[in-house]
Formats: sequence, structure tokens, C-alpha cells
Amino acid sequence: MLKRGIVAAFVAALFAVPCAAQEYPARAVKIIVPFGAGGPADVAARIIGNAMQEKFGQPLVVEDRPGAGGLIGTMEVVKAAPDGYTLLMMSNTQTANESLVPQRKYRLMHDLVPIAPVNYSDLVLVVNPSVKAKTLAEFIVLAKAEPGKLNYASSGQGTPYHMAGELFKAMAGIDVVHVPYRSSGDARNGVIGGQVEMMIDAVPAMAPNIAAGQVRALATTGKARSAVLPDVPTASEAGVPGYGATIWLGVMAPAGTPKEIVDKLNVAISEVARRPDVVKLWAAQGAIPMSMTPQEFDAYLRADIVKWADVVKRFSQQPK
Amino acid sequence: MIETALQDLWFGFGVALEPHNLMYCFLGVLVGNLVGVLPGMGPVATISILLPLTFGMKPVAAILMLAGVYYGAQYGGAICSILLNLPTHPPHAVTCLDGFPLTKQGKGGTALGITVIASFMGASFGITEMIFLAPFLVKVALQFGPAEVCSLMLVGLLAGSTLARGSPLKGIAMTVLGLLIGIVGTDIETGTTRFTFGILELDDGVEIVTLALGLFGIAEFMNSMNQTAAVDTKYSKVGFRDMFPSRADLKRAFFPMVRGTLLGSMCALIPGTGPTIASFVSYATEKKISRTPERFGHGAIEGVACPEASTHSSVQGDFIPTMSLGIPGDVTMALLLGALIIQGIVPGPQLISEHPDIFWGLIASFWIGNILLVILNVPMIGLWVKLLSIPYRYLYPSAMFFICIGVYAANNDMFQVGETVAIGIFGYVLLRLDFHPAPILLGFVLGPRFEENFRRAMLISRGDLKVFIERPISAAFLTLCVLLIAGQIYVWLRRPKSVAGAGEIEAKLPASPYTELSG
Amino acid sequence: MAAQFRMKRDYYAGALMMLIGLGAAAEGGTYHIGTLVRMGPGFFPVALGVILVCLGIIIAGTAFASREGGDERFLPAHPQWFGWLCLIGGPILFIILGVYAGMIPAIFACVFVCALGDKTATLKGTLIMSAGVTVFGVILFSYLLGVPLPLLRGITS
Repeated sequence: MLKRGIVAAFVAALFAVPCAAQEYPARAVKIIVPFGAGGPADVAARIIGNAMQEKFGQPLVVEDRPGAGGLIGTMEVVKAAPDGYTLLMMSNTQTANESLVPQRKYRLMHDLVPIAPVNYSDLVLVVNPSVKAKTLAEFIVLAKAEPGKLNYASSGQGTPYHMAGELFKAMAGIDVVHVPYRSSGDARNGVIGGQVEMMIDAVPAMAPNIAAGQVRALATTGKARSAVLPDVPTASEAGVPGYGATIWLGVMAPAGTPKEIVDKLNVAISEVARRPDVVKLWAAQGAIPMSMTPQEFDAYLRADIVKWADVVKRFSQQPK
Repeated sequence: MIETALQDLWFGFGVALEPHNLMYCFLGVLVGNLVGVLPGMGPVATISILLPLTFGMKPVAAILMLAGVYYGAQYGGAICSILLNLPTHPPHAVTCLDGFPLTKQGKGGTALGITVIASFMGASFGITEMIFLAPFLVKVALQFGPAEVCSLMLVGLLAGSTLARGSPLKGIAMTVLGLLIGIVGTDIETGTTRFTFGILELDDGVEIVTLALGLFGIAEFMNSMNQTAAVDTKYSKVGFRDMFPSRADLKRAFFPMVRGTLLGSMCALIPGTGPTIASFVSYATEKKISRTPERFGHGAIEGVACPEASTHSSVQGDFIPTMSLGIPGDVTMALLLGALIIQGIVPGPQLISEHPDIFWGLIASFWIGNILLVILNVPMIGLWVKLLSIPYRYLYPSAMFFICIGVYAANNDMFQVGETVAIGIFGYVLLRLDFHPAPILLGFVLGPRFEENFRRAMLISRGDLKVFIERPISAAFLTLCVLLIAGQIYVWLRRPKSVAGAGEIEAKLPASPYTELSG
Repeated sequence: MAAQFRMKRDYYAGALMMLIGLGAAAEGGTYHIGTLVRMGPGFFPVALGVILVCLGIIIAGTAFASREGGDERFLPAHPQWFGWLCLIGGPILFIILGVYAGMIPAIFACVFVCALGDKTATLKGTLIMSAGVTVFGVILFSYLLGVPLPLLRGITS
């Protein structure tokens, strides 16, 4: 009797997995955003969630779990069941954390499986109008003439903006002092108010201030010019060839999530991220959809981890 | 300029009074008001939960509703503080100090009445300021660099030492303790974690809601356990008459309301200072300039009027940097900006010109919302006071539950509920040792900002201390500090001479000689 | 006389402040201290810790210098151990049941256990109140406000 029961259970399980994938999602899916509500990751998750809800007929609930620079939310997904009902909205914060936070209790590529990227946004390098540099090249000359004199703001140690700044310093060969602030709002206040000379910030956040003349944009940080700021050259064009720093968002799931579910989600997310109405919303934020297969995304993540590991190594070697 | 502003305002009223928008505004203030009464769960949690609903809504209605939740919550916040000595949100912690004694004297209804009036006055001023003075004030705010903010924090810390009920020595110790608790978390400048003992959840520090509810809520409940004198049912026999403040009360509360409003609106503009700091500083200021400071803490009506006025004016003023610069002053504003972004609207300096319906409609809705709130709250005063007639043994377990779920909902984190309990036990120990918790909150809020800005000022000036004196605004604040300290010393030196001869002093001294030396 | 000295509240008060101050200074010392103009993460904690220790000494000193008078005992006249245990137990049950069992058992247990601490509580009254608050709490927080805490884990997800 018992043996028959075990065989039956085994057979049922064999069928359950592909069946589950076909019916997936059969109930509400939770996507955890390890950052604060109202931020770019949160907004993106809600937009995607809304669209996926229309597609699948099942709700995609966004849950914000900020804390510890993204670690708390990430840990929660790492510990969740790999059944496809708990997902993680992540960004290059997570890839940078691989090198920034050695004491974290997970390994990104080992404990999570990539599903799909969502979008990426360029950053823009702005200076306070009082700075006597009208182009990026002039700024670099100015900075080299007075090493250690100019300051740049960021929204905190280890944030993508800080990392972008450090990469820029390394590639342009200049020495500007990093002034961390508590939040991006405070940092922006600092550069608009003139206490700090420079800042690298998200394009949509700074675009209105640039238009109003409160700060001057010297370069954007992507491979191509930003659609929101077409008159601003990229850093590559303007004097630091090869420089690229963006903020990108992607979705991952706990390791062990069945391949069928991963593929299904990948197709759905890529499709949704490129829907015209969604793209319009992205454009207003200066974000451009990205689409890759899970394998491509995997390779992308690994490369990104290496890139930031290098930056972290360089600035943690600097004297404090 | 004023003429165009009035024209735009008229246009804004037209937008806000459209039935669709009006309905959502009403919904927002109603939900906000109710949520404001609940301990722990504040506008931030509520707005995050309502955010997805705004997807399908038109942008004007969405922002009107969410904003309504924010300032509506401030109206509800005073209620439990006054009636139950339970601060639902940090800015209202100060209201407990005089509000609860008033309840014990049977004047809880009066206190609530004054609160509504003060709130409306504070909010109205904040709105007016926003309309006419916004561009000018934003320019001033941008002048506030780290040195200025640091000096301001120092003024706040010194003024706040008078918050101490009882021994000033213990009050200072509590302020220092608050400063230490504020250090828990990640250091902004270097990224090292301090006082976290490896606990991941502490990396972002202690939440103010956790601290306030633990110290004021749980600790007080422990203190009142089975003490029959705690909340006597005789206070619930409040007549209709008692609900309205008397002329004398109104007269006494008027100028404190005005001062509180002014201070609150100033605090709104300075980056990094919010309603909490505004309410603490205005209370401390009132107590300092009052001719009868000893009444504070025992049911002085000014002690209820001024913090409420300043909280409300600072909350309305909070919108200024957000709407005109696109820079959110705090988490709630960041959420509101997020809601706008989801709608495809980019906030910033051009918001006024590109989306005048949103900007002016919002401002007009502030007026309308506040009037709605007054209409909602005044009749409810009697209802709230009736709350006191519920036997205490039913009241406090329910309050404990509200605290638990409120703290949980703030960050979806059970750890913080545990934190609240631990802080509560510690708070009780402090109460038994005759320490009073209010200065802890002050130190907790001001301390980290003081340290952060001091270090940032030093970083930018490359170690030059003179920057504090060279920059005019900072120098002004430092002068104020010196005057405050000089004033304290002056009062202390004068004291013994006014008591009868030196020989009799020793015999007359009560248990702690330092209790004489308040403020 | 010696026994009376030991009971004074302000001694405990001062001692507690000294303890916290020492702890803060010790822990703060492990972080880089730096100088006044280039403060490290440890500067502020150590400085505050030292100030707190000094304050603690002065507070204990006032106890030493003063005459007897007033309630000098640390514990209140009637320590409510059971009441406090219930008051603390309620939220702890809320946490445990909230994580493992769901919102409904969590609310009920929290309110019920907290209420038990009061000497005037009756079993019937407490049960009714707990049920009432649970229903109200579920409606308000789960349905109206959408707080993400499952009602009953395993049954509703």
C-alpha cells in the first residue's frame, strides 16, 4: 500500500512540474523591490506589474523591502521558495554589492537565477553654474590643474552614483573629493546650492533643473546620447572614451526556479517592457528598454560584477 | 506678481472643486485622518499602499488624494497623544507633554479643540507662504549649506534641553542618550556600520516611530499596569461645554500658535528639518520665552497649541521644495514624486508652467482639504473623548495591537516590532529611574544631522573650522547658541541669591538640589 | 545607613548612564576616531560616551549629597511582574504568530495576552474583546489598507 502511494506521489510530482509551468501563474506573484517606495526600481516594478497583470490575469504584487542598501530585500528573495511566485527587482546596486559588501550572506549568481533585464537609464554629469567649465574637456583640465580641490556629491557610499563617479575619476585621471549625502535629494540640494561643484545623477531627476539653468550638464554616461538631453554629448564623445555607467534594472528569481517558468517570465517581461505605452512612460523617465535571453542576461550580470569589482578595489585602496 | 498668483489660485480652485477631484481629495483626507489616529502606521505606509491605486486615476486626482493623506494624518495624530499619552507619530510626541495632563484635568476636549484651531491656522499659513513666497524661500533654502544646518542643529539641541521635565541634569543625559541611539546604523561618510553588532536590520538605524512608540507607548503602559489612578473614567463625563476652548484659553493660545506657525514654516524650508524638529523646537521656544515656564508639562494650553501649529505649517511647507525644485524633502515627498512619475509627469521647476492644473489645483486643494478636516474633526471631538470611557483594561491591549501592526506596516518588518518592545522595556527602566523620554527623541532626531553636517562642512572646507563663523547664517545661529548658554548661566548664577540666607539653603533643599535649576 | 545608601534610585540612574557611556566609548573606540577637524566614525560616539559617563558620575553624586526623601526604590511599591510579562508577551506572540501563522492568530493572541495582565480583566470580557479587535483589525488593516500580512498562512497566501 505504502509503496503504491510513494510511486503515485512520484509520478504525480513528475507531471506536476511541467503542469505547474503551463498553468503558471496560477495565483498572485510577488515581486520584491529592495529599495524605497517611489524610487525608480519601485516605479518600474509597478509599471511592469500592471502590464503583466493585464497579460496573465493574475495580480503581480509589488512589495517594498528597503534596507541595508538593498541587502534585506535581496535576502528575502534568496530565502523564498523557487516556485516562481517570488521575484526580485534588482539593479546594478546588487552587482556592485558583490564587491562592496563582502560580509553579505548570499552570492548573487549562485543563489539567484537571472530572468530578464527591464530597462536602463543614462546618468548625467552636471556642474554648478559657478564652475568655469563649459564642456567636459574644460572640466577635466580644471580638475587636473587643482587636484583635490573640487568636490562631487552622491547619495551615499556605494550607491551607483558614487560608483559612476569613481569610475569617471579613474578613467579621466582626475582627483575630485567625494562628498556623500544622505539621499539624492540632499545631494541635489548641495550641487544646486553650490556647496559642491559636481554631481553625477539620474537624467530624469536632473533634466528639469538643467532646463531651468540651475545646473549645467557636461556629459551623459551612456553609449548613445540621451533622448531627454539630445544636446548633451556622451562622456565618450566629450573626452573620456570608453566611459559607460548606467543604472539598469532587471528581474531575478531564487536559484532552482524551473527553467520553464524562467523562460515564460523572460518572454513576458521582455514583451511588456517594449509595449508602446510602457515605452512612453520609460521615455519620460529617460529609461530605455533592454531585452535579452536569460543566458545573455546571465553573461551581462557577470561582466557587470567584474566591472564594479575593479572600481571598488581602486577606491578602497585610496587613503582615507 | 501677486495678481497673477491670485489669478492662478482662482484657476486652481476651479480645478480642485471639480466633483471628480473633490471626491478624491475628500477620500484622501478622510483616510489620512483615520490613519493618523492609529499609532505607528503613518502617511508613508498608507501612501505606499495607495500608490498602485493611482495608476488608473487621472494625475490631478491622484496627487490630490495622496497629498490629502499626508496632511490629513497630521490632524488625527494629536488625538491619541492628548487623550492617551500615546504619540501616534513623532511630531506629536511633544503634544503629549501638556495634552495628557489636560486630559487628566478633564479638559481633554478643550485641548482637542485648540489643536484643531492651531492646525488650521498653521496649515493656512503654510499654504499662503507656499503660494506667495515659494521662489524667494527656495533661494534662501539653497543658501543653507552644511555649516548652517550644523549650527542650527546645535541651537535646537541647546534649546531642547529645556524640554526636560524634572532634573535638567537627567534631561541632558537623555539628550545625549538620544544622540547615541541616533548613531546606530551606517555612517554616511565612510559607510562603516556603527553599533549594529552584526544585525542586518540595524544597518539603517533605529526608526523614529519604533523609538517613539516604545518609549512613550509601551513604557507608559508598563508604568500604568494595574495602577488604578492611570486613566480615571471621570474624565469621560465631559459636558458639551467642555469641548470648546474658553475665551481665556483662546487668548492664551493665540500667540504661541502664531509663533509655532512661523517656526514650522521656516523648518519646512530648511533641508533636513521636518515636522518633528519643528514641533520640538517650537515647544522649547515657547517654554523658554514664557513668563510662567513651570506650567509647561502640567497642562499649559500653549504647550498644545504651538507644536500642533508648527507641525501643520511645516507639513504644508514641505511641499515647496518638492513642487518647485523637484527635490523631495523627505520620504513622503519622495513617494508623491514617485506617484507623479508613474503618471508620466516629471516634477521640477517647470512643473508650475507645464502642469499648472496640478500645481495650483494642489494648492487650492490644501485649503479645501483643511476645511474639510476641520468639519470632520470638530464634531468628532466628543466621540474621541468618549473613547476614554472604555475601561482601561480594554483600551491598552487594543492600543498594543495597533502599535504592533503600525510598526510592522511601516516597513513590512517584524524585527522592528521586536525593537519596539525592547525599547519599551528599556524606556520603563528609565522611567523608574526618574528619566523622562522626551529629550531622547530630540537628541535622536537632531544628533545625526549635527554630526553629518559637521563632518561634511569639514570635508568641504578641508578642515577649516572658521567656516562656521565666516558664513553669515551659520554665524548668526552660533551667536544664538552663545546667548542661550549665557542666559542659562545667568539664571543659574542669580538663583541662590533669591533664596533666604546661605545657612538656610541646605535645610531647604529637596532630594535633588538640581531640580530648582530648570530653564 | 549603608543599606539606605544602596537603595537610592539616583545611584542606579548614575550607574546606568555610566555603563551606557562606557559601552558607547568602548565600541566607538573600535572605529577610526580621527581628529576634530577630520572626524572618523568613532569620534562622536566616544565623545558622547565620555560625556555620558561624566553625567552619570554627577547624577550619582547628587544622590550621595542629598538627604533621604521620596520614593527611592527602583521597583514600584507593587511590582507587576505578571502584568509586565503579559504586556511584553503579547507583541512577542504577535511577531511569532505573524510570521508563522498569519494575521488573525497574531492579532488575537496579542490582544488576549496583553489583556490578561490586568487584574480586573474577566475571561469572558477578554475573549469577546480580543475577537472584536481581531475582526476590526482584519477589516481595517487587511481589506481596507492592504497591509501585506497573510491572514492565515497555509490557507490564504
